[in-house]
Amino acid sequence: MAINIMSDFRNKNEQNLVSDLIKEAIEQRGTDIHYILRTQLNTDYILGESSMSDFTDFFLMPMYLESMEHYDNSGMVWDGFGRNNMDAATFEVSTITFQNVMSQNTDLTRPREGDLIYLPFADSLWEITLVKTDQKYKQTGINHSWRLICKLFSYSHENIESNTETDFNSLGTQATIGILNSLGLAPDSLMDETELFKSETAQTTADFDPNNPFNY
Amino acid sequence: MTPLFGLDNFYNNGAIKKYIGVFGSIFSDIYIQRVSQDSTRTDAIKVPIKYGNGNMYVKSDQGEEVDYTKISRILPAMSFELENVYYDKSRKTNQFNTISQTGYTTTNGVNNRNYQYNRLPYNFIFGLKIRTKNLDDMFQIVEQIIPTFDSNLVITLEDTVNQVNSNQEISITINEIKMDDDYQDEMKSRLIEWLITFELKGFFYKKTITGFTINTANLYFGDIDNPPVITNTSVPDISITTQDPITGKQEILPSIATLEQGLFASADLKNIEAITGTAPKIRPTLGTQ
Repeated sequence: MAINIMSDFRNKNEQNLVSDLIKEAIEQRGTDIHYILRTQLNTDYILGESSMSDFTDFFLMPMYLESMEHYDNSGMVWDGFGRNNMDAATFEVSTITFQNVMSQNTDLTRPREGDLIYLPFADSLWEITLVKTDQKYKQTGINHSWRLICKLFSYSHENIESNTETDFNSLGTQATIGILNSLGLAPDSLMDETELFKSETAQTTADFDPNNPFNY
Repeated sequence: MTPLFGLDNFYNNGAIKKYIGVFGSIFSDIYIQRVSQDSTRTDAIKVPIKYGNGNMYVKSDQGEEVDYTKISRILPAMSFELENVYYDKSRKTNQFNTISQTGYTTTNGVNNRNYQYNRLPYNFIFGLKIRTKNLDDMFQIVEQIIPTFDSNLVITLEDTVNQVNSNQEISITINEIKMDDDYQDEMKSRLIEWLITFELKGFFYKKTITGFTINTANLYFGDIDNPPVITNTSVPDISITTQDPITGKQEILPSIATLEQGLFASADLKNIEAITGTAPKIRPTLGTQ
């Protein structure tokens, strides 16, 4: 037995109406974020990664911060490597907005896993780990929004800089210095204790050069 | 019972911290390299290392400019911890052997030569954790480390803290390598973590004892009930001329260098004679006592 034909909203006008309403709602209650495209520079199809990536294309668009998760009520894990921020967030972006913004410069039709989101009010970087369709699973026949499951970005010396429309400054080609300055992190945020070990060892070793431990 | 501990018996050789410092410095200059597909760009990245244990108020940067909510973490990184210490009886030697100071120190005109009774062989298990975001980064790090320990890495340490100034050789070997890669959890940023377990063959040291160098040796030969003093010499003069009181035959002893080893550190024979009224009976086989 089929549904009542008068209740079938899967027609073009209804679809456009819902899309426009979602777009407007996100513009009302959302916030401007910077969508940052990943450019893979040495893609390895066996290992499934690109260890060298540039993030230099920034696109401003409104997104709705749907949820913010702090695991263990803190989101922070303290281990042998220092602090690890485990926070997760879900952003929602209208398909119309996304396509309008991106179609001007790219051929991207949907958000991609691996791209970044810069949240200006929190001054934080998020990596998209999963892209989902809207929560209603296309009940009107089309997808009206993308839900972006994000984790705080694990920075691994990628080059992140932009000359356009963002708060980031172009700070030279050295990726580490660039990101540390861009995010306001001090260089010692790397928590490198190399010099401490070297000075400790210099007092005790007779034939071991801590500056050249492998005799290169 | 003689007290085993207490302030009078306090000593601290600081061996464990030395081993931690040495172990950390081995891996303190590891780099990885990333080359773009078209070879026009090469990034050299230093892999930082830290000792994992510690309080957050020391180990974390709490400056105003640091905001840990901006990103999750910075990779690649290495961290190590001392995980286990156990006795290695295969390296055990005579506990009455001594480790003596090389040379001597002079304090208030008295020459002192410090020594310790034999050290205890213990193995120190270190776990080196390596975290990267890319497998290629991990491979580069590990492929630099593993060949270096073929089959072990021997480092000579010069002890300058425990007043003995003796050198010790420690060897470090790789025990095992564990790998972890949580790529299946889409709710997390990918994290690759390998754990390399090392075994450092080290030692625990006993308390340093202040000994004395021998400046004078009194040697008695012949009639043990009425011993004449044959010679009286300082240690640097290692040849001694003796004369048999019966035959009158003169003889040059080969050496008394073994006296330098501290065996007679407190044997002032004259004092023994003065206290006991009897001269000590010593046969001319000095080197074997």
